[in-house]
Amino acid sequence: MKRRNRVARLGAASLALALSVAIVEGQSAGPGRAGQAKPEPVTESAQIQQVRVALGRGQVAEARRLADTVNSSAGKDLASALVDLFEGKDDAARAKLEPLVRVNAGGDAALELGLLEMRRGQRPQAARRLDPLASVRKFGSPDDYYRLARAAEGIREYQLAADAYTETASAPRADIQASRGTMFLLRNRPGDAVEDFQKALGFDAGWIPALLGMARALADENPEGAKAAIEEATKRAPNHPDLQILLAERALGAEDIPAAIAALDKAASARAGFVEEAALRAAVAYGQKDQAALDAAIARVKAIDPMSGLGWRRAGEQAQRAYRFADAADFARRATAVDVDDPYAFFDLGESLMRIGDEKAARAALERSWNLDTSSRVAKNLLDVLDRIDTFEVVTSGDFVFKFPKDEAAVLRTYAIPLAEEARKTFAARYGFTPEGPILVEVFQKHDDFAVRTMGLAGLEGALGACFGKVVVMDSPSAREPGEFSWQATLWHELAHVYTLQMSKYRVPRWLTEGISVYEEHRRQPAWGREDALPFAAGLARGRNFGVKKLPDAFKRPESLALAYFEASLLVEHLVEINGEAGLRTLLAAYADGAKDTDAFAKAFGKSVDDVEASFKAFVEQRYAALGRALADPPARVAADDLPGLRARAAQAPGNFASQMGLGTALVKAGDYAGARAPLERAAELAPAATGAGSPRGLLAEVAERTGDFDRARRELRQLLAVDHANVVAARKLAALAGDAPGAADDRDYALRLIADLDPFDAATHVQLGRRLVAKSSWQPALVEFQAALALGPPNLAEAHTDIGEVMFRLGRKEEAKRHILIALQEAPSYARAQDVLLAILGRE
Amino acid sequence: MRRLVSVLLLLAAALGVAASASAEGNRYVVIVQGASGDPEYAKTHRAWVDALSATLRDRFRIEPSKLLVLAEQPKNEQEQRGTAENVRAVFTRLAKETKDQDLVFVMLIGHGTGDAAAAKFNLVGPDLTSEEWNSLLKPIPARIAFVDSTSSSFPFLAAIAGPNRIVITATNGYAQKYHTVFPDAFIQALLTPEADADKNGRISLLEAFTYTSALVARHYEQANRLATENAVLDDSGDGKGRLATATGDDGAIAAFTYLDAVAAPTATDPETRALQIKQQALTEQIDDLRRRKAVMAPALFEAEFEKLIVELALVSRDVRRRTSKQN
Repeated sequence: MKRRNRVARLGAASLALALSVAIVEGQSAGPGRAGQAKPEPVTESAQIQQVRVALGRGQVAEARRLADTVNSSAGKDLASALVDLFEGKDDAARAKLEPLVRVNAGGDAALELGLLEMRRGQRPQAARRLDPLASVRKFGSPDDYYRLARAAEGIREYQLAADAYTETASAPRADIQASRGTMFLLRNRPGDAVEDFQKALGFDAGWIPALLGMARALADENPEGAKAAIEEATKRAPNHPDLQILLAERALGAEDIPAAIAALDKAASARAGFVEEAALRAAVAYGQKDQAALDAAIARVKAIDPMSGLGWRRAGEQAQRAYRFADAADFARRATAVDVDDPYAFFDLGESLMRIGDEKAARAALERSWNLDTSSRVAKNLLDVLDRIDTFEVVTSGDFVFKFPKDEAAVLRTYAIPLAEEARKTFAARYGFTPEGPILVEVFQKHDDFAVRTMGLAGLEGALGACFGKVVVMDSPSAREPGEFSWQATLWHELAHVYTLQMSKYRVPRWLTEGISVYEEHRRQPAWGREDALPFAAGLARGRNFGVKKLPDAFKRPESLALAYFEASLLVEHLVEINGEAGLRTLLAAYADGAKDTDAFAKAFGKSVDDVEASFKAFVEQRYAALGRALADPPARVAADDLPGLRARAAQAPGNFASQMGLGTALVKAGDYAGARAPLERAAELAPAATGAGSPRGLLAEVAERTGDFDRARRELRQLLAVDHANVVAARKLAALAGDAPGAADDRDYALRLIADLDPFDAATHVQLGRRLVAKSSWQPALVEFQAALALGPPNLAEAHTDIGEVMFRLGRKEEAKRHILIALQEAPSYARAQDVLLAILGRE
Repeated sequence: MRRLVSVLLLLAAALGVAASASAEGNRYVVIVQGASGDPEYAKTHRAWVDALSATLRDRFRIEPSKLLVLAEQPKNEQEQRGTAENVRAVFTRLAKETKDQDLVFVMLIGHGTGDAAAAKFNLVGPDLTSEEWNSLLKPIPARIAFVDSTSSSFPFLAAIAGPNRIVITATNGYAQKYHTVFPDAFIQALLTPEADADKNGRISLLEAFTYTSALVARHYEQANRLATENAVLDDSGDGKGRLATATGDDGAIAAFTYLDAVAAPTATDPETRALQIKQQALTEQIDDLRRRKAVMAPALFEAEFEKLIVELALVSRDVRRRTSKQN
C-alpha cells in the first residue's frame, strides 16, 4: 500500500501524447511498406510475409486464404504452419515444419519449429535447433537480425537478443518494431517500449501485438492511453487470443474474476491449449481460493509444457496483487523448482521474499536471476539496493526492526522508534489485534532506492512510503526537501497498514486500508491527512466526488488517487460515526473471513452499501458543501492588477474565496496592507484549511510582519500551521518571530517542535528545543534533542557536549556526564558553563 | 616505523610554529577597498570597510595609527586612496616598522578578476597581480594574515601562502567569479560570541573563518541558490588550503592567532589579581597541552588534562565570584 503525495505525474501526460501520436501516424501510414496490406512483388517470401501481416492484424481467415495462395509447396507449408501456430494447432504445424527443417535447418521453419518445441517443453531438442540460428553472424537484412533475436530469446540469451534488436532500430517493419517493444517491456523499460510500439503502429496502425504492447506499457502511467489501445485492438480483432489474455490479466488486476474467466474462455476458443491461457487459469483459481482448480490449472500447464513454471508464476503474481507475499514466494519457489533456469521466476521469488522481509534468501534468489539474465535491470536494481541496505544500521525495538542509513541512524532512531512504539500501542488498543512480527521498517535517504525497494525500478515520484504487511519502506526526511512531506505522518500511515492488512488476512480492499491509514493520521495529528480538503470540497461542488461504490475504481486511476485517499478517509470517519471503532474491527474481520462488501457492511454496520452511500453523501455535504460553494469559480474574470475591478468583484461576491483572495493579494502587492486585511480575513473564514505562503493566513502573517505587528504575525502563522503541518518555512518564520520575546515562549516551543519533526537534520533547532526543555526541567526529552544535535554535527561542539553533560548529570548519569564535559572542555577550556558542570559532577561547587 | 617517526617530527615542527605564533607583538591592520565599478557596490563595499575598521578599532583595540585604510573614496585624512601606489607605500612602511613577533592583518574588499595565470585585485587605477602582492609582502618581517574576500580570489591562496602566513580566500575555485558575501559574514563573525567556539572570550582567525564559512553557506541555502563561493584557509604554507568543513593540517596556527591582545589582569584587589594571573597561566598550560595532544599517549593526556582543567575551573569560579562581587 503506497502513500502518495501530490507530485505532478508528467510521465502520464507524455505517454498519453505518445499513444495519440502513434495511432494518428498509424492511420496515416502510406501503403508500400513492409507490414502493409499492399503486396510486394509476388515472391514466395513476400507471400509468406503477407500471411504474417494478416496474422499481425489478427485476420486469421485472411491469413489462411493467403497461405493457400503461396506458390511453392514448401512456402505453402510454412505459411500454413504459421497460421496453425497462431491457432494453437501445434501438432499440425509441427507436421508441416519438420520436413522443411530437414531440408533447411537455418531458415524460418527451423526457427518456428524450435520455438514451438521450446514452448512444449522439448528444450534440449529446441536448443539444438535454435542454437545455430542464434550463432549466425552474417547479416544481409533486418530479417537476419530479427531471426537471430527471436532464436536468442527462445534459448534465453536475452543479452544477445537485445544486441540483435539494437541493429533493427530503424527497420521499417511493424512486426520487428513490435517485437523490439515487447523485449523492452519485458526488460522493464516501458518508455522505450512505447517508442517502438509507436513506430510499429506508424508502419501498420492495425498491428495487434503493438496495440497490446502499448496497452501494457501505458497501463500504470496512462490508463486512458492503455484503454484506447485496447479499444483499438478490440475494434480490429475482437477475438485475438492475445487480446483476450491481456483482458484476462486486467480483469484479474481489477479482481473481476468472472470477466477474467470469460476472456480466457475466448482466448482458448481462438487458440487451443496455449500455456499463457492455462497459466492464467491458475491465477484465477488462486483468486477464487479454489485449490482444486489451481491444481488442475497447474496440471494443464504441465501437460502443455512440462518444463514451464508459468502457472505458478501467474498464481504468484495474483498473490502479490492480493498482498499475500508469503503465498507469492511459495508459488515462485515452485516455479523455480519446475523451471530451474527461469530468471523471471527467480526474480519473482526474490521480490516476494524482500516483501516479506527475508532479505538474505531474497539476495540468493535475485543473484540467481541475475546470473541467468545479466540484462535484467530490475534484478540488478534490487541487488544494488540490498547492497546498500547491508550498510544500514539495524536497530531493534520490541517487534520492530529498523534499518536506517548509518549517517542518519543516530537522529532517526531517537524520533522514529518512540513514534512507532506509540503507533503500536495505539493501534493494538484500537483494533484489538497484535500483528505478526517482526515488523521491518527500512528508511531510504535516496528516493530512488525506496522506489526500487518497492517496485524494482526508480521513479514512483508520488509515493512516500509503502507497506507489505510485515515490511514498511519509506523515504527518509532527507530524501526530499524539508517541508515537502511529514515523514512522521508517513510512518504512522504505513504502520496503520500493518494492522489493517494483517488483521484482514490481506483481504482488505484498498479503499479501506488507505482510508483507515489516512484517518489514523488525522487522529494522531488533526492536520495530518487533511491536505486535500480544498480540492475535495471544490470537486464536491462540481459533482466530482466518488461516493462509496465508485471509490475502489478511483484508486485505480493515477489522476484521482490523491482525492481517493482523502475521500476514503472521510468514509472511514463516517463509518466510525455509524458504529464506532467496533464497526471498523468487524468490517476488517468480515473481509478477513472472505466477505464481499455487501455482507461486510451488513455485519459491521447493519446497513446496506446503498444505505451507507446515502448517509455518507449527507455527511460530506454537511461538512464540505459550504466550503465547496466558497471555492466556486469567481463570478467574473478580472485582471490581477485591476484593483477597482477586484474591489467590485469582492463586494459582489463576499462568499467567494477566489474573489476575496484576488483582492487581498493585489492589495498586499500594492502595499495597501491595511486594506488587504479585510478581504484576507474573509477568505480565511471561507477556507480555513487553505495552505501555503499565498494562503489567507500566510498573507495575513506577512501583512502583520510588514506593519510591525509581530504578535499578530505569530497568531496568523500558528493558525496557518494548524492546517499546513509540513510548512517548515512558516514554522521557521514563527520561531524567528518568537525569538526570545516575552510571552512568545509557547509559539517558540511549538515552532521548534514542528521544525525538528519536519527537518530532524537541523542541528541548531535540536539545540534550541533542548534548551527550552531544560528550562522546563524536562531532562530526558532534552537529552533526546541534544543527542540528535550532537549526531548531526552541531554549530558548537563544546556547547553540544556541555548540554548533554549537564542533562546527564541531572539524570544522575554522572560518569557519562563527566565524559561529555571533559570533551567539551578539551574543545573550550575556558568555557565557564562546562567548568561549573564539571565542578558540580565532582561535588566541588 | 621510519614513516611514523617522520610524521611525529613534522607534527612537532608544526606545533613549534603554532606555539611561537601565539606570542604577542604589535598588531597592524591594512584594509584595502578597490574599485567598485558600480554605485551599489560602492555603497556596500564602503559599508563593509567602515564596519570592519570600527570593529577592529573598538572591539579588537587596534591602535588607530596601526589601522590603515585604503579606500575607493577616502573619508578623511587618515584614509588613503586604494591605488597601487598607496598599497606599495603602506607595505614599504610596514616592512620597515614591523618586527617578527608582530602581526599584520590585510583584508581586500572589492572585486577580483582573472585566473591562475594572472589573478588581480581591482584597485583604483592600475591593478596589482597576486604575484605583485606577494612581492610587496615579502620584505615584511611580521607574521601576516591575508584575507582576500573578493570574487576570483582563489589564485591568491597559492600566491601568498608561505611560512608565517595565514591566507584566507573567499573562493576555492577559478570558476567562483561572482560577487561574494564573505566580507559581511566575516565582520559578523568578529562580532558574535557564537563564533567563539572554544569559549575563551576571544575569536581566533580559525574561528572567524569557520563561522564565516557557515554563515556564507547558510546564506546560499536560505536563498535556495547554489553557493558560488567557498572560502579556504591555508596556514601550512603549501598553498593548498582547506574548507572550513574539511579536516587537515591547515588551521593549527590560525587557531591560536588573534586580532586582539591578551586581556591583562585588570582586578585591583591583589588576591583577585593573583587568581587572574593563575587563571591565565593555567589556560596557557592547557593550551600547550592541547597542542601536544597528538603526540601524547591518550591516557596520559587525559590524566594531565583533567588535573589542569579542574584546577582552572576552580580558579575561574573564584575569579568570577570575586569579580561579580566587586562589580
